Amino acid sequence: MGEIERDASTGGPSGRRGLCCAIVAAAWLLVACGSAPAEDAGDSTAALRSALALQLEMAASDRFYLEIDAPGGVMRLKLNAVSLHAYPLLGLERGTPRVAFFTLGSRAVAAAGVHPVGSIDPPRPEIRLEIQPPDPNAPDSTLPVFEPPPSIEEMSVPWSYAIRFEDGLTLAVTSPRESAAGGIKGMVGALRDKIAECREALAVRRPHLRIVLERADAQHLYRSLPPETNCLVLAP
Amino acid sequence: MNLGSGTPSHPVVVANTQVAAVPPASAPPVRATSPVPPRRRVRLPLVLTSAGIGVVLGLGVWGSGYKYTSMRLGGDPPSATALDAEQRRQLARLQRYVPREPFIVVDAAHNRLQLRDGDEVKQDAVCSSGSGMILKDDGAERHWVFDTPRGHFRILNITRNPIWKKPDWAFVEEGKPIPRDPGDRFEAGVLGEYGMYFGDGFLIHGTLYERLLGRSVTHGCIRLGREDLRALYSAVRVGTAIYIY
Repeated sequence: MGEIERDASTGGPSGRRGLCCAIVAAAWLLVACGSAPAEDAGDSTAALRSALALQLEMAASDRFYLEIDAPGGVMRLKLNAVSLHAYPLLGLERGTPRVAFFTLGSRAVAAAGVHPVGSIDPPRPEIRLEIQPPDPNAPDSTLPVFEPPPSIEEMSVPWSYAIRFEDGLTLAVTSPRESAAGGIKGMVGALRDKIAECREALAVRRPHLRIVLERADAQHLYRSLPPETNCLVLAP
Repeated sequence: MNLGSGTPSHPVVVANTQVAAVPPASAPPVRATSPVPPRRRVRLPLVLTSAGIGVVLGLGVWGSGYKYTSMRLGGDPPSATALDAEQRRQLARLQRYVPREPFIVVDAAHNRLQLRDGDEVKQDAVCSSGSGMILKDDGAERHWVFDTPRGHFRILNITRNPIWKKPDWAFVEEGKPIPRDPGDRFEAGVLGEYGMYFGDGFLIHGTLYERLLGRSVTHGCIRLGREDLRALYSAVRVGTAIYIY
């Protein structure tokens, strides 16, 4: 009975224990809440510094490069930090290999960073006509008429194509579904793409990004991407 | 088909439909048979198994390849005040690469020339670039490829009413002998009012064949129409950057 009275007057041992626990918990919460934003800020500062360093590295190079700016929602063709053409991104997706719906999560490879020497797959048809000089002894009326090469707009562009880089990154470029060919041709094309994708996904450990562009932008990129273009991926 | 004549002792099959014949009164009773013939009984499980395998395989292929995860697009760019000193230094170094004066961008594949000032497009013109054609000089075992060079260049020289000094390929292309006298190489009036030389024999110049603008028909130079050439001439100077892709 006496102990009960003492507890009541001084807060007692159980009351002190509760108070201590509350102080410790409050201190822990304070530390935890205070440190998390600081770490985030530190991470984002480091990421921004790293992204700027990569941009500087690419700007100093004499090679063309594609800069995929996920935070900006745009992909730019650049040379020496000058944007030559901008392709607004309708979508940007990271591919993780999977087999029969089972994701091989451990095989996903981060794509952020610099990727050297890209080439288009299927390759762009190269039109190399040979000029036939006229016979110097022939009369003027038989001189060959100059036939200019076909316009670039006549070059057919696959609905879906890839830009493959030497280190293994694949940029799969595609357009919204409504632009795709319909009917049997479309189904055959989709099946062919799917089989190629399966083969690629299961073959080797490679970073894979899928970029969705407006059809006109996808065509422009296919027709005018300079050879051996590098790639810089700035992840969010 | 006459099914009523005679007294057949065997079942008659008509177009996959089995008709049981009425046995004669003296014949022993016929044992009742299953309505599905034996061949069909074997086929059904086979068909079902094949279909099942097909569905599983199809699902397997459908569920293989890549699983795509969307990456977040957009977001607020970091403001200049939020950058630390090192980042501001990096940004300043990066911005030094971008010309502060107007510069020229040529999309050689699509035959477009733009004059830009920062992000602003001051002039957008249709041009003509290299045809990519090949010319062979069989006699001297030489050949030329008429591509417009890609990369970063600068205007090195600007001339009014430029006179073309015809290179060897111009004579080979015309099927004419290459002159020994250098004076026989000059031709006036074919390059338009202005020529902007950017190295290695390449110029931005005018043309007599404006109907071919927008087509890849040149020997590597960039041709512009008269008005566009005038506008460009008034906006550039020696040292202006040219980016060709």
